[in-house]
Amino acid sequence: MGLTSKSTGSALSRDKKSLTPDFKIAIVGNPNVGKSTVFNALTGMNQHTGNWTGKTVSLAEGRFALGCKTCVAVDVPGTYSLVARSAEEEIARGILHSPDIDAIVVVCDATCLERNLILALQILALKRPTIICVNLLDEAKRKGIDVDIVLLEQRLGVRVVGTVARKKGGLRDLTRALESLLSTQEKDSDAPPSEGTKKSEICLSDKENLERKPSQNASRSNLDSENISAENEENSDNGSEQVVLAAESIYREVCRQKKSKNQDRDRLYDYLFIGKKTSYPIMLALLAIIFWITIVGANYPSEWLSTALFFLGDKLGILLRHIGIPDWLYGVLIDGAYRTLAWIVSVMLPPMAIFFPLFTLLEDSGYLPRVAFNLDKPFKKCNSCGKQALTMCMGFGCNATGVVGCRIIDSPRERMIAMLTNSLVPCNGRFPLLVTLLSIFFVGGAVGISSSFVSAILLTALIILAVGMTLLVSKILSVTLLRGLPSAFTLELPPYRKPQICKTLIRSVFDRTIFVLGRAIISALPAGILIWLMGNLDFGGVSLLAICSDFLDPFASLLGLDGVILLAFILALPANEIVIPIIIMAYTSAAMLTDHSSLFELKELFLSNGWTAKTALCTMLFSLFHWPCATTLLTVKKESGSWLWTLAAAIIPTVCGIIICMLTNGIFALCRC
Amino acid sequence: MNKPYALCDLSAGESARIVEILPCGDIRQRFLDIGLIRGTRIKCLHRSRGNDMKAYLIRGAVIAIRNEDCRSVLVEKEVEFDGSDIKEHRVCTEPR
Repeated sequence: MGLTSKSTGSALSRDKKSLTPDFKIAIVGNPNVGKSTVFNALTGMNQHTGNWTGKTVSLAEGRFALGCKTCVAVDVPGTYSLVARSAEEEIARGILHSPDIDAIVVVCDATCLERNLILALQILALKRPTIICVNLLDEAKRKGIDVDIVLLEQRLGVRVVGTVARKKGGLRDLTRALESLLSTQEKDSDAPPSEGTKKSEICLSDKENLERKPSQNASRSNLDSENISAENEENSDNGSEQVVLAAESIYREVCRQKKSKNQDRDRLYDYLFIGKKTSYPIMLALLAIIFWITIVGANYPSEWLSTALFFLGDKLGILLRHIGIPDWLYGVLIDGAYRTLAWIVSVMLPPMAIFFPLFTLLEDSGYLPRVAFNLDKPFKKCNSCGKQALTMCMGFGCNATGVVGCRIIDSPRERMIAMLTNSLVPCNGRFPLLVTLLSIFFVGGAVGISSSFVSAILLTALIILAVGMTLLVSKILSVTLLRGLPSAFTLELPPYRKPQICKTLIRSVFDRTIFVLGRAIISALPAGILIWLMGNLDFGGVSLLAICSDFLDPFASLLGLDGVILLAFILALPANEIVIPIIIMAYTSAAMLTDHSSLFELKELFLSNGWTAKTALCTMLFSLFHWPCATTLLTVKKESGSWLWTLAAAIIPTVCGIIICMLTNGIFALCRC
Repeated sequence: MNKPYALCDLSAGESARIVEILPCGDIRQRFLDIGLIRGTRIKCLHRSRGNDMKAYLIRGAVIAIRNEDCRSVLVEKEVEFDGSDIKEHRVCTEPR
């Protein structure tokens, strides 16, 4: 979920520049079998893992030492077969046919070996150097499944290693197996090139290139008649059925299963989480509970942080004055940059540090695909893919990641719908604004258990509105711009897994929170300086800020906002997190107030600038529905490859926001009459 | 001989064996990928709220398929089997 440089695969380019490795191995397998966990365990990296299909959608590379050689592992998105349809599967396919790859590690899920063997057999048919890694042995044991690794090895004719990657069990075996496989290969490579290399026609010099043009590479490898994947569907039907039957018979030989309580446990959970009566209430309750924990938990650290940071700011100011820096520089640095920074850290950090881990826990437990299952009916009604519910959920964390996640949707039409509507759900950067305004205008600003409950419920209501809007816009798109009927898909509901709580906490703070916070700070600094300059540059006695906000005012008042708020939204294009800090800075730029750490002071400030409940409501609604942040837009550009669709991704939510805000404003005006 | 049903007509808890997969093209391949072919045993576990999608136990994995996508997959109902002891059961009763 967290958009980090690692998860978007840009780590590749960095790796490219350093020394060329001795070997390159690809880690492939069905979705959600723990490929990323094996990858992390091998390389010591921290690629995000999650308990659902499509968690990894782009390639990640990591280096590790294998004996005295260096080796690069490529974490490939999960695929069910070598016949690729979705973008992520084409990436996987391209990698398997690449001559760069010296060995393939096929990761199989021991709890579902039968299905996993289908892909394993298809890959073995490619006749590349391959190791089969049977992962999740611990889980299988708990489920009463016993896998005979030795027999499996005999039947498949390649090295098979059993692992428990989560606990790093069996990893030494895996590296040893890799070492011996690669060393025999090295001897061979002096002689004629290996069979696999000869066969493959794709020249994969640049992995990023492959990622950008998967279809091209796939069509090229289609020429290769010797690959089973290249046979066209009608002819291969029989062959594929043979593979399935072969997998079935091998599976029957190597696996023994006793009845166990664990499976019943999964069924029981499913009765609760996807049952007819309980699914929706539980979904809403979980959402509300997460918000409640976030709101309550963030309150105190927020106050401490802001007190500390503003205290530090004052001391810093005194110090700078002492040195004798000019007034304008003081203004830029302390009143502009530092105050914005302090705001971002104190308001943003606590809710993020709480929300991210909670969301990750949900992701790890395997609940998200159940959400997609529950919400399938409404999405089907809107002619879109049920998997859109998954990408929408990812959008709660970060819209840019949500857009990348849309690769799990096969149909290009449905994928585009999912991408265009992703920013209709509020990302983590927008939650602090919603929470702050909710608690100061609608819950009375008091910090107490009951009021935090009310905030959480109101926030949940806002989220339901956002989901409803996603559905509505999807429907409108599917009957206008992106016309078509829903395409077929299968959705795997993975077994429930106990999340690794400690690891999740640490990783989500380090990877996600720090990254998003860093981005906010980077975009807030220039914005802070800009606002300060605008507020203090005079043109004929009127500040630039006043000119701009006066210019926007007539339109903004139609939306129930004011010029400053709209200006803040525009300036916050690089990162949605900085809307509130910009508003505060703009209001205070003329008369510099001290810190606005407490919500009460903040309310005073807003009220003195003409805010009413209507203003707050419209601001929240506009925050839900307006243009996505620059990162998301660039991601849409990258994923769709067209500026036109990127423009649509910006315009569609904005139009929604304008309509909704105008309606709200109109209703308030009517009520007053 | 049981009369063939459409896969989507199974109700939760019922087991069946695939008789024929009629759809062609993309979805047929999808079914193949998850190991759904003629003769595969399947058990319907849950139906979604709104009854437009069902979750099936297929080769040890729980997979949800929309009803309209598996309308033309024909199955014949079978006596209850539990996904957990399916192997031993199969090995002794029906060697293929």
